[in-house]
Amino acid sequence: MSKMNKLFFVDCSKAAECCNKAQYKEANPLEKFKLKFHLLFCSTCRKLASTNTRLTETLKKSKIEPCPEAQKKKWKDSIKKEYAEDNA
Amino acid sequence: MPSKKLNPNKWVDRYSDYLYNYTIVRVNDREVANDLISETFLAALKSAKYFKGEATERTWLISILKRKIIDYYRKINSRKGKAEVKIDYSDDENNGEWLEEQVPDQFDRTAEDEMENHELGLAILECLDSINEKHAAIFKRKTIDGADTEAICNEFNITPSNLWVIIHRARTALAACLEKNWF
Repeated sequence: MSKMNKLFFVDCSKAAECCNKAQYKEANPLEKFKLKFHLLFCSTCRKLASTNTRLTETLKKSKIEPCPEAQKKKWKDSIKKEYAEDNA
Repeated sequence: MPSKKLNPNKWVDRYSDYLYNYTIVRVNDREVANDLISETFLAALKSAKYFKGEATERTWLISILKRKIIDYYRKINSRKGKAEVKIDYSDDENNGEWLEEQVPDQFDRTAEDEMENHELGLAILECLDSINEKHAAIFKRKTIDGADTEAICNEFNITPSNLWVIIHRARTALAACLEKNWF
């Protein structure tokens, strides 16, 4: 593959990586370009990209609230302590 | 598939996000939610010998949590007058916040939409329970906690390429699960 081809063409797995990065706004302009170029020719990836975008929108809509890590640690410690006492 | 045997050391990693989101919708107070979940875990440990394995661990924990939530409302309703909703901004920190609360709700958003979004959140967490545990943990750190790629790579000792492969697998599995159970 020539240098030019390498610059523009990516395989499906690389396109999927670019697509996932784009969902988290972590794809750089070249990756975005490569993805868009790949999607012009690949219907499978087009379908995957549309599902992926829909999933991102669904996740945003769901408003899942992350449980604070400090609280998780407290629970873990108290379970560990209580479990150890119960099994002593 | 979830195990039918109790594994208390994994409860927090596996179910805390689900229990937390389940509770805050119902009690609308993070501190109270934390206390209720703590009580649930301790009650579950105490009654672990009664777990027959007929339901999944999560279903069993939720049934205990539901009782705790009902007890909580019984308790606050039994204290005369205290169950009323009072707006009291006596401390300086919250002073003036009432102004913001006076802004009318968005006309196009209904209580049903809010409820559906919370239900959707629980459906997503339920689906994450059914996929590979490590993939789900990494996906949650990245998507729900919003952690940096580098921080997650250090935490799980993986390369960025590994991370994106795992995220891809988790997202594909999650989309398939939601397609089946939600849409």
